[in-house]
Amino acid sequence: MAQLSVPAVTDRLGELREFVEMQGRRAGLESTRLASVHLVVEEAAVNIISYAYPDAPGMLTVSCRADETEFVVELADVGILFDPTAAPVPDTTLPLEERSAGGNGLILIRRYCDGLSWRRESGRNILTCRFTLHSPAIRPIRP
Amino acid sequence: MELKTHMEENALVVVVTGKMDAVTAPLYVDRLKEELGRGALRLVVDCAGLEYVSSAGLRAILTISKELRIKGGTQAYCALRDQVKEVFEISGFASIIPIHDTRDAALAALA
Repeated sequence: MAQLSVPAVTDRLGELREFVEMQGRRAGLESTRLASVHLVVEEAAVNIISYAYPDAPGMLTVSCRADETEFVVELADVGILFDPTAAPVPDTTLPLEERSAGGNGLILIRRYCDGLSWRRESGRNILTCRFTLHSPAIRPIRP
Repeated sequence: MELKTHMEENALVVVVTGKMDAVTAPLYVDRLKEELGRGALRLVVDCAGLEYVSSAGLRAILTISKELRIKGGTQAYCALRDQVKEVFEISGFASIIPIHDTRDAALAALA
């Protein structure tokens, strides 16, 4: 398992994405899937950067592992409890005036992962994002 | 991300290239607010060179779209690549932001 820990600040986002992208490429993900992984990692990391540590910036740890069937990315923080799998998302059918700026990241995370789970363990938020190898890049949009 | 602007057929054309993500999206807001402040009311955003958009980019686009709406302006986005188009569709932005296949079609829609 490959792991990288960085301070949870926007400046380190590029580093995180490059690390995960390298691991994903090594695991055999093709480019459209890598783009999905890249997006999910940005969205999950931005949530941690923006909300996990309201006082002083803490750490963000990304771990990657792969086997023949899937590539798995785990993001962990020791910040305030937040479950991205249960948080409400915005209504995507609202007109422009009523759309709020937040929550779109969660929609994208849920859409682009093949499996998503969250657990709270010893004061840590651990988000597990699964990407099936060799699955179609674009799944049908659920109604 | 790089932004280039010019006037074309009475509209401000914004050519976006690169990635609109959590790092670069604030620059989009700043630059476009500046243009709106200078009186731009007809906006064409050419996304042919936009490789990637995340929710931070969507947030920036929403901010500018709302401000433009308040000022009574109109806009059209055009030439979206597949990843960008898909993110627009998943988030519902495809139904609140006018999207055209080409810059010419976008300019024609605002004419």
